[in-house]
Amino acid sequence: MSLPDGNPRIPEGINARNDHPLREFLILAAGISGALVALVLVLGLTAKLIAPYIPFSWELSAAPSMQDLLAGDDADPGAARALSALSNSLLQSSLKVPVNGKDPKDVAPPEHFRFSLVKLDYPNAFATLGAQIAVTEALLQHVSSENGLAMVLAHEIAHVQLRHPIEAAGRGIVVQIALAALLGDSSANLLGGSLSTGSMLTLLSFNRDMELQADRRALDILRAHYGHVGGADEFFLDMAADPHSADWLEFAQTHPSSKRRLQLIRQAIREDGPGDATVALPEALQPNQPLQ
Amino acid sequence: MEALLQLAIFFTLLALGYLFGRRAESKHYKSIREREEQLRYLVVLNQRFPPPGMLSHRTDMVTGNVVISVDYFKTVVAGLRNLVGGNLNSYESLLDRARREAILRMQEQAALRGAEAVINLKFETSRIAGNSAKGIGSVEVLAYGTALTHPDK
Repeated sequence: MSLPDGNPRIPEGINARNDHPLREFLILAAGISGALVALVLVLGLTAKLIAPYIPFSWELSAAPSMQDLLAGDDADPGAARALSALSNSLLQSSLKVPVNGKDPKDVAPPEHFRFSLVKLDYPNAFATLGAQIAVTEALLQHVSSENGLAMVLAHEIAHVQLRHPIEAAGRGIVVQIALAALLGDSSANLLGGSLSTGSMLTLLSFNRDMELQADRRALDILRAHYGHVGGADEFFLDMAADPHSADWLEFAQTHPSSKRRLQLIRQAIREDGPGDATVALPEALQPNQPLQ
Repeated sequence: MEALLQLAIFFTLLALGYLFGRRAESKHYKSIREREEQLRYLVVLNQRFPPPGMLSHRTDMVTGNVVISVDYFKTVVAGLRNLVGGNLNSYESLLDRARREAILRMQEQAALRGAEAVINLKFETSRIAGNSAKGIGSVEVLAYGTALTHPDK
């Protein structure tokens, strides 16, 4: 056996194919992101379907305390009491309006509702797990009658009675777990927030449909309470009066389709015709009231 | 906002990885082909025993060693590939380059000794774990063999 004259020329493209690397990347990225979007949609839909069947007691035990999450100074106790009184009477009126054919008492027992006034300097209101509803002190500056404030409160009560918090939280958690399991923990950071932080639970984001549903129910609650929906648009009108203000931008960011909602409310007011006069805000809640 | 920033960083890294990785790869392949042509005369075989005419040749071990780093783009493609399985084309070219470069370096050593051939070629491949937890790793390929040099040289 003798040595060959030289080493053979290695034909290119067998051991390492000469495909363009971007091609592989694009195919993979498109395929996988499509599958992920489909997965998230399916999981989100599942959460929506399951939410009404989750017992309210489970929601209560899973709920973090709003006081722990919204770190703010205690608001004026007199104002907080007045807010609770107004909220509770609205809550009683809301029991007369069935939720999708069911008794609101069974969906979310009224004794579990907690209302709080938090000392934050941007106008907003939240409803979160465990029927906890918070209104910021700054919001009071943007309503001029009890009806305007009642609309905000009824809207948040409606969210709870429609089981939106558990739906949003369930969707958020399920989607995050699925993505973390598939893509590794780093993806959870990439998509914003991790499971352990309470931020997700405090400021649950409700989607456009949820907000509109809650508005419709809130208008029904107002009709049951006052007999008309006059003044329901106060808060929105006041906020939207200055569309470039920081408060409005902040609010619009956490509440989708604000314009569409204002339209819905105004349409309801038009259809109902001019109602009776609005009720003045309880004294303790009036903005110019010197804080004790 | 934070998520946007992270996305921007991700895409910047991806683009940098792609541009520089692609440039490095094509330059490397060009140089590999040129040097393979120059060293074609120095035969490399994987048989264990010297051919009959070379039984009295001097034998020396020659080695060629190379470490190549993965670029971010390849890591991302590999990460995506991880989910669905299949040929990891982006790593295949990386290892192909590393093996051929290792043989070339081994041949250069043998050429310095004036060897006529290298027999008993073997490879070792290992991962350098440095940053591998973050998905960026490098690969080491070692090629070694026995150089046969004419006893008079």
